[in-house]
Amino acid sequence: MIARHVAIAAAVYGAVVVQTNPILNSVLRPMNPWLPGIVLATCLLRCDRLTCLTWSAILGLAIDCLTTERLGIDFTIAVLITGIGLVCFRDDRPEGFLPKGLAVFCVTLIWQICRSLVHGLGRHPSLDVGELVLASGGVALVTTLLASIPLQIHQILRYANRSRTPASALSLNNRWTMLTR
Amino acid sequence: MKPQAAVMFGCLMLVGAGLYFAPDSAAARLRGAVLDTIRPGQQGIRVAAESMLERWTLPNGLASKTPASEVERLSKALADEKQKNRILQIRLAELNDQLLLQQQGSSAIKRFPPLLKPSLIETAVLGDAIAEQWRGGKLIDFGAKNGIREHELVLSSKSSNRALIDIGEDSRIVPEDALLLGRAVIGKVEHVGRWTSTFLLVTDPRYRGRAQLIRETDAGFVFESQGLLKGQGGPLCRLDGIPAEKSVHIHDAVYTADRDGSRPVPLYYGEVVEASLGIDDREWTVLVKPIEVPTPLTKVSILRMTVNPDRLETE
Repeated sequence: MIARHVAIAAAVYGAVVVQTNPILNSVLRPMNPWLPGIVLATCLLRCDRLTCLTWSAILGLAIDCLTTERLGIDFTIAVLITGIGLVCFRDDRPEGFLPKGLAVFCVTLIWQICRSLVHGLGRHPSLDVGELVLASGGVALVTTLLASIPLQIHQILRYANRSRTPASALSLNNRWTMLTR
Repeated sequence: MKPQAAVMFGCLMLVGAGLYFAPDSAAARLRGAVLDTIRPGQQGIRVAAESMLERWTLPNGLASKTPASEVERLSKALADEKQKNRILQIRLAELNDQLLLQQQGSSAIKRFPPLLKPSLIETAVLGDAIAEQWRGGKLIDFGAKNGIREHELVLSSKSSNRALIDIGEDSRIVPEDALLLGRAVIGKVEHVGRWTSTFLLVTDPRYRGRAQLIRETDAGFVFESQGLLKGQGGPLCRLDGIPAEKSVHIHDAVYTADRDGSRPVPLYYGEVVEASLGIDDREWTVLVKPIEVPTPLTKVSILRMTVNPDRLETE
């Protein structure tokens, strides 16, 4: 339990630092990914409800503090997305590559649209919604592609480990194993 | 959602609303705490990036150049190139104007040397301590009776803490003369004293200056609409008076607009960083980023108009 909290804390810290670091930003700017979206989606898929809400609030607050706008905007958006996610994944958390990617995409897309709307409406009374959705979709897509890299590596490693299992290690009295071999 | 999670969700939403209306002092304290927390991570990345850069540049014989010095060198080179680009922009815009005039059939038949000629005077900016002594009469204190006393307007600027330059009426500068850094305008002379003068930077809320946009088009650089550049007390200035029917683009260059026969070359102010137009607005809201003034500012140039001696000889 503590290890999980430490891992999420590290992920939140890492995402915030990387997202705001000018050196890494200059590298990532052409792609413009939204790393907090990955962290929030991961929380939604792997943590229990209260942990998820707590860390989404901390993540939102951290991002709020790094902007010059009023506090509470990203905080509320992050908690709101988590609430929606918890309702959607009420019974079971999705497994597999595609649902996880979809979760990252949706979380990032909603977050980007909401924050662009809130920040944008504060500055200009009129906004081009189509352009906004397109830009947010682009960011969400890039973020999903970025998130897919560790997922793919994880899948490959798992497959490699399974295929490397020596034949002698298999239990002979395991009926299922015998049948499938 | 389970009741416990639903209650927590509701509480967090209330906290979010509370944060939005939190007083600025509390928000600033919270921001400071978060920034302090992420600083070690940022420094770690910087150190890692620098060590990686050093490792990569070693085989190419660039080990002696630290990344910081390399960045500084490249920044200088970029600034030089930008300066050259600006000069070319002005030259092109002038040539376009001349071409237009020639096409309209108006060509000068006989030319006299101009009556007024612009000239630049380089001057030093007095540091705070020296300016304080000067204003306090500690450097020369013969008193007003002997006539050796600084101008009252310069002395009275003490309360506003305005910076001083070390020339005044003795160098024949007048209020409103442009203050230049390189070829860019960074302010103007405010009060001229006997030996010293005060100046306003373009970012000062009291600064006003006519400005115009220069844009790169397919046909070259063209002069666009004119407006009034106003300081706002922050890093950005505001360009007012651009009608809604004109177009303004981000990164348009902003130059001085007081071009005439005696001063044909406009001077650079900065570039447009934000331009917006509401549905019912009659004018654009344009924010301009002036060039960065080094701190401390030690040397500046003053652009003043003088009578051309060649012209006087022809009389």
